[in-house]
Amino acid sequence: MLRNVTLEGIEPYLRYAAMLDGLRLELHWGDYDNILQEASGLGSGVVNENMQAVLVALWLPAFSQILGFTFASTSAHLIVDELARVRDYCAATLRALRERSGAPILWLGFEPPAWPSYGIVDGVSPPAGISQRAAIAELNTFVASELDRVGNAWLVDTSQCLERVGAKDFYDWRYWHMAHAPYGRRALAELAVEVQKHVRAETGRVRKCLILDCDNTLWGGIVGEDGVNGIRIGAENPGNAYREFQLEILSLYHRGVILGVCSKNNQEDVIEVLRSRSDMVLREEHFAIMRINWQDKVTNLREIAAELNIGLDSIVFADDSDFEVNLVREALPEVITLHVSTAKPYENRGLLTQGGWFDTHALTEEDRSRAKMYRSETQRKDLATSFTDMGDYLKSLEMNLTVAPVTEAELDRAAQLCQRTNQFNLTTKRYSCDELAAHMASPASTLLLLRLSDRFGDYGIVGLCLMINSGTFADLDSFLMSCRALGRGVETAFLALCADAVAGKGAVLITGSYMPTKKNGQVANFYQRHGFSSVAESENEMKFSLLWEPGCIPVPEHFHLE
Amino acid sequence: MNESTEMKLKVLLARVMRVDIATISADASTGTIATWDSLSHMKLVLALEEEFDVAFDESQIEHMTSFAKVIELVDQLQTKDFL
Repeated sequence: MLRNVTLEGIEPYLRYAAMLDGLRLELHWGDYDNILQEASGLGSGVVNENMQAVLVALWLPAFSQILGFTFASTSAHLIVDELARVRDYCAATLRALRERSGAPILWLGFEPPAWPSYGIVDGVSPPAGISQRAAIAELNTFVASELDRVGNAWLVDTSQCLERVGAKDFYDWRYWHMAHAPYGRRALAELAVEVQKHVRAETGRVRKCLILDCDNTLWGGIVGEDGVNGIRIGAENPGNAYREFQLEILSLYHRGVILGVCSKNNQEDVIEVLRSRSDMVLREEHFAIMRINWQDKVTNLREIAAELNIGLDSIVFADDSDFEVNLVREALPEVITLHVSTAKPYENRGLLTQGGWFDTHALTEEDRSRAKMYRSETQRKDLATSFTDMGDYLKSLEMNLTVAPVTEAELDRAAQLCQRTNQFNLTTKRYSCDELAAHMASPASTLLLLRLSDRFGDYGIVGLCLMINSGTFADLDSFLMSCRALGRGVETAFLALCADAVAGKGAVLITGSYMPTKKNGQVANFYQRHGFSSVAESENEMKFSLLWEPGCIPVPEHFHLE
Repeated sequence: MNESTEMKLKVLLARVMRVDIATISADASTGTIATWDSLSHMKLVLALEEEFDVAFDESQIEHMTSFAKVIELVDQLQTKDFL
């Protein structure tokens, strides 16, 4: 799961949707807002040879303030540049992903704004000549063509999900502001269903066959009682609801779904309806198989599966009867059983379309081998080239780092960082405001805070380092960083600057500890990676040391330091 | 609040926090459950809103930091419904 927003809320919905298809889903989350990095094999390393599929959630308003918030405040040529930046990022991410894995890629499409910046003229004659909605729709088209180019990659239609749920209910601005999680629970549920359709298509779980009951399913009424002309099917209500239901089934027929009938009736009655009732949409020729008898439907369905030589898990069965539905659900849980409504037939068409059980990726052999070809081709590429891409990308962020001693106004935020940071935290010492204030006042302590900003905005205070000095020794008591600053080499720069700061006070030997917790595994080798030597190791603490000299920890080039 | 609702809440909390339900005591809170961090807090809110079909306001979300407070909040909700 590669994402630039908090999306963990989707997990129960995704797992549930997958469970309904008999799949156990394991989600591996890439680092927050590190899509390109993870795609390039950096970061937490979730993109690897064990990966079976990857979902990319690039939420446009979080990636582009212009496209998400300030479209009407931005000149046309800057918008054009911004659209190019989005396209480049998407293309680079897809390229990087394909280089690393042939696994299917699911890309969440961009949602056009329900309330565009230019309001009612956005679609017709927007000032500056570019429509926000059209621009975003074009981005989706671009991504779709890139997905087609890398092969085995699919666009998950987020706009459709948005339409179904409705924009007023789709986003949850509380979660967005509190946790950078834009989607409300209804959106998460709908997105999960949509994603699962793709997962289904990729895991061979697409259904192949639709078996239908007749009375009060294909038509209103009971043919054995109402007669061929008494059943409701045709232009009049409620016959028109059944007619539209049949039209939907006809579409499925033309998409290659096998149709069958399973009805408790006299065979002649049903055949007569199929042959002679003129309002019927579906005819004898549309049904590959029929079981019209007084036998129980479970046995009938088993026989149908055997005769068609398909699994029961390839069948969707629709019936209006409580009794039949419960029976089949209990005896044949692998069958998807739709309980169509007798009282509200106008809802039945929706039941059929909303499941997406027959949606397939319809990959041809050529498509599959194209994905493999692309991958091996790009693996031959120079390693240096992909390195340059990342370096260029990081440089393009125009990041600004400021490391400075804590001030009184910043104590609250500093304490908050100590309390809340779990993952990038070497020693997980929870200091209160008062304790930090004491360190701030003490000449033996050096308490530094890291500020980060880039061309897209100010991230505020994202790192804290507390060092205790005594003469030529300095110990890194606490070193922690907010996850929103990771994946850009910031931690290296911060460590380097902190080391330099304390060296300026006379320290020559710098020590640091790693105290393992359940959450901070990612920093286990942080000091080693930066040239520290291991000096002691116990169950609860690993100690490291570094002999400081100028340039001992090189600061990555792409930063502007203050 | 009736016992079954309280049990439902306990089960929900245990599931979201990925802890054994037996470890959830009356004073369970962000301080006593190690897995109760900001991310699982958001998941807890999401799960409660899904379960009771409600929307909490920001201050309620911020103060929902213990099992006792969750019970209190849900109690309030249910009393409102009844009225």
